[in-house]
Amino acid sequence: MKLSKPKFEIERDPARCVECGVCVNQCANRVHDWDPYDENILSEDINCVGCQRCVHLCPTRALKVLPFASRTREHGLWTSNVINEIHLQADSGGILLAGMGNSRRQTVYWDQILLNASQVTNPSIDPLREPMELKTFLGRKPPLSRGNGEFADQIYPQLELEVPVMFAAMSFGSVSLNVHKSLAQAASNQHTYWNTGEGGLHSEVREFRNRAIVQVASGRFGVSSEYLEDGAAIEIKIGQGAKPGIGGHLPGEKVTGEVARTRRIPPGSDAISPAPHHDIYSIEDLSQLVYSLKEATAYRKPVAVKIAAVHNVAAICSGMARAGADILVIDGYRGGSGATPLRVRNEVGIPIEFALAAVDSRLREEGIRNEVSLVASGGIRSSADAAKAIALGADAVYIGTAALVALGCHMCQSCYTGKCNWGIATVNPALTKRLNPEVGACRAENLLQAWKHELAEFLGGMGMNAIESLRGNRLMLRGVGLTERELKILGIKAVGE
Amino acid sequence: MRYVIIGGSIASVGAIEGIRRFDQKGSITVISDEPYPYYSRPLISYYLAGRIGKGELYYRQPTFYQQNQVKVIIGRASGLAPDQVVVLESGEEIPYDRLLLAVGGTPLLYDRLAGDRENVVGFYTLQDAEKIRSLVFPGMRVVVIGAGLVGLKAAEALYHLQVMPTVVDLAPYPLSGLLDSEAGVMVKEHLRDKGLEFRLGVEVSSLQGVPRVNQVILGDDSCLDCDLVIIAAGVRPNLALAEGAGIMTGQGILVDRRQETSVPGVYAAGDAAQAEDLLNGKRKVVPLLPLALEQGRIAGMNMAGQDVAYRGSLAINSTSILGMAVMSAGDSKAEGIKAIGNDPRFYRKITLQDGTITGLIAINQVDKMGILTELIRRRVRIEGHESKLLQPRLNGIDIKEFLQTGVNQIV
Amino acid sequence: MTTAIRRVKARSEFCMGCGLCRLACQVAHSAYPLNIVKAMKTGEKPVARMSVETSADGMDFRTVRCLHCEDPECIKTCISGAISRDEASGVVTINEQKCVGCWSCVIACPEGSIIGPGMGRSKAYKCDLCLSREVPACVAACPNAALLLVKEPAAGVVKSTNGEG
Repeated sequence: MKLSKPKFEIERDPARCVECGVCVNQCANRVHDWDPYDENILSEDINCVGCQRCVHLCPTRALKVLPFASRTREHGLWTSNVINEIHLQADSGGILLAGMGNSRRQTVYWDQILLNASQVTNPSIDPLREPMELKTFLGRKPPLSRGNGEFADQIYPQLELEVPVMFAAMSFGSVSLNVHKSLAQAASNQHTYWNTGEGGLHSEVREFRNRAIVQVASGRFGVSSEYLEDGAAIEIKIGQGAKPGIGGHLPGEKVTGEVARTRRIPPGSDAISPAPHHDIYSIEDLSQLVYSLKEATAYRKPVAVKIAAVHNVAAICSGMARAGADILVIDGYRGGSGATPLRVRNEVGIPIEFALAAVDSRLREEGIRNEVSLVASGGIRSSADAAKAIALGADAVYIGTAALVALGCHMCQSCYTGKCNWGIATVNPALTKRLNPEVGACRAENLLQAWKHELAEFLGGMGMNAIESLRGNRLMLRGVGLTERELKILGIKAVGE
Repeated sequence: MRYVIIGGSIASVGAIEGIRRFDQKGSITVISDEPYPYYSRPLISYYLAGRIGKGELYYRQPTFYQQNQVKVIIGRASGLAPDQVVVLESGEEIPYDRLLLAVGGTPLLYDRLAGDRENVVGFYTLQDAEKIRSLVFPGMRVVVIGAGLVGLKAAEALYHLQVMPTVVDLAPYPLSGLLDSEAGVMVKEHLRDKGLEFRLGVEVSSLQGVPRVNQVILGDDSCLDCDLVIIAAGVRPNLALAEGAGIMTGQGILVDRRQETSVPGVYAAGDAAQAEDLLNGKRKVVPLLPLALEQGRIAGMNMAGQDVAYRGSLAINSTSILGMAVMSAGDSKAEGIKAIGNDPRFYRKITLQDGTITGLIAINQVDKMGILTELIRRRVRIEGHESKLLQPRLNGIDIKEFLQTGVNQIV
Repeated sequence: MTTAIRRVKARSEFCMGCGLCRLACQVAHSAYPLNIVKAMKTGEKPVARMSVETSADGMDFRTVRCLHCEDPECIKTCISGAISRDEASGVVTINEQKCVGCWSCVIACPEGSIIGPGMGRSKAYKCDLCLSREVPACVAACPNAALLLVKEPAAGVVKSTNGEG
């Protein structure tokens, strides 16, 4: 007897249901089924993952997907969720898997940080009347002048962004090709960048390669000289916020023809990314890889290094900067993934807010902050989070989850099943066609446009007309409901101060 | 240019449309021996049954002749004189530059059996249907001679008038010209279940009773008492005019791919014409409404100076008889692969030759059968995929590589 | 040659077989075109003039719709002259008053797009391109932009092989 319980229950209003069958054919989890004998639609709650696809597409809004009402007796420690998880492990004997990012009910520190606005002195600027400079350059910058009045003699390759928001790394295989097409097109149109993730660059998105940051991860999937040459920048992925310290695993079933070809591995084989790069066991090894990549591309492209935000993130980033990384990417513990062990996702890593502040402060103390670019990611939900991240010291942010939500994701967190009903986290052709890249590109572009306008509003409100003025400007932030310690680490004052 | 068309039915309509597409000035004269203009013959059974009124019988709008500037003479042509003149029974002479013989056919058996009796009626013209309407009463004993399409539709109409006719045919099953025995038996059983009676595999020897028929004597010496006999045993082309003018005929009036006869300037189309078969290239009389329209159009266009070819006749039949949909196309009687179902009841057979489909029979579950017709028309090689064509609910997407379609539908 | 002013173009690579187009067609041709629930639950079920197919392997989907051919087979086979084509728009429609349900159009249509017998119907139904609506119901309902309204004659429309110029 298996003890696992439904997470959701379906409520169908019979007065509104016209038995059109859309819910039946749209649910990849086979929750709804047409019963030809009673001539009605039955719903099998235990299969429901709460993706809301049927709710959204039902033409008469006859469906509700609600949390399973039946709960175990209230307990502060042994909650229904905890009990369910133990039951699942007792049923299966396996590691609990999860999709997307850390779900724990922890303080969201972005919400404890507030932005400033100008009143009376340093008056606001109206973004509708004055131009707002959101342009951002990512890449190595020359060291501080030695005071001899000479111009810097070396200019390093830069990425030029019209908006300080980029699409985060999501591999082809964990997401569909149509997701890549949507994000690549949107990034192109908005003059920012998208990241291929560790699944390689598919030939059908190669046209967007001048806006692509190509990733070199521990499995080295898809890496070839053409691949490196194609990218606008190269990102060495050491870790990601959703699973710090462990590797990745794309099951063989998802390594279909296209995925296999793009990753340059045999179809059907498990795509395992080992925990460490097996040629990086020290900071010197990292430096070697960084410079190998720069040599291979004749120093024409910025090389980024991405790590998960962990306890010694400041020291690690300092090392990365000195190792030659041009862009440091820090992925906080809310960062998402297509498949990660639940426990690692929820219990390992630290919030990006602290990691970012710590790294920015440390690099400033060491006098090298100006030489590298910092990109923050992991649960950036809105333009407000982005603005606060920039104020804490980021040059730009990556959005992963937010981008997928823009494409239609409803955060059911079942990506690892490969049955994403929105056609996003799957490579099943019957499902991937549900995301028309024309529609997806439009939605992703709309998101960037909207955030651009909001960022302009924030800046104008603070009396600034350039994102440079906000960058690292912690005076524009105040903390509310934070401890002294937290305020100190974030380097911001408390509200009222 | 003077266009004269003998006949006022479907081929004639097609010709008028074909001519007027390219020549709005030339004069068109139609000589018709029926008082009713361009009605659809297949509809007379629906009219008889009371399912449609007189107004719905017509194949084109009432203003058709007027809109196309057509002059109509009600009369019968008695012969074609030299120097391109049509001579009417009335003696009137109608000169022409281009002539179309759209003269249709004459019911078989009628002359031999009818004997001028009021209650022996054919089932070819609207007048026949009106005659039957005036005679029929519920519970009447009616014998229908001929279990082909026309005979069964007549029987169906009688059913709706609360008459259970007996249908007689020489063949062992109904629709023997179109169906194989399995399909034919299915039709027979369906109609029997509804209450129709059949006497099959037997010919009609004679009709007894003067001045009104009261008995039908069959070839096995049995007899059927009756109050009305309807003869629906098929038609033969009207060849008198053509033969009289020295135009080459076979079973029908022989025409080339432009619908022109052996005499230049004289064309033929419709039930009387013997034109090329789409599938085997031989010339054949195929008296079906859609072909009459097409042939008429081609003839008309060529009469108006164009040079277009008829694509060839493909026999397509479709009807519904007391709730059973029955369809056939092409070489439907030959051997083929079959699917039969019971719940729901259906029959489908596809005849194959050299890997292409050459014929089709479909009884019930007839949705999308047009896809199969198109495969026949284009002689698509379908080998290896036959089972997909026999599914009760045909799924075009499973044979999409064989479909040629428009509007960028990526199939 | 007539010039058409509207057609529906399908891109079946984006068709996910949801059937919302078919439902919208049903409702648009019902007694309550603005109210789905009333349309589907009052009296006889309205007739959809198009259908959706799913491939045997469940991977592909497409709509089956009338393509409003330039030289329609259905018009040639109709025994009652019930089907006609509007010169200006190119739209082919069935006059329901004249249709006697012989299904000749069903066996003639190369797309298989005419709705035949089933559910006890006694007349044939076909797409009329929703001329009374700004956008055909199916196009408006498609959630994935697989159906588009285009204002041009269909490219590669099925023509008869009659050699007509």
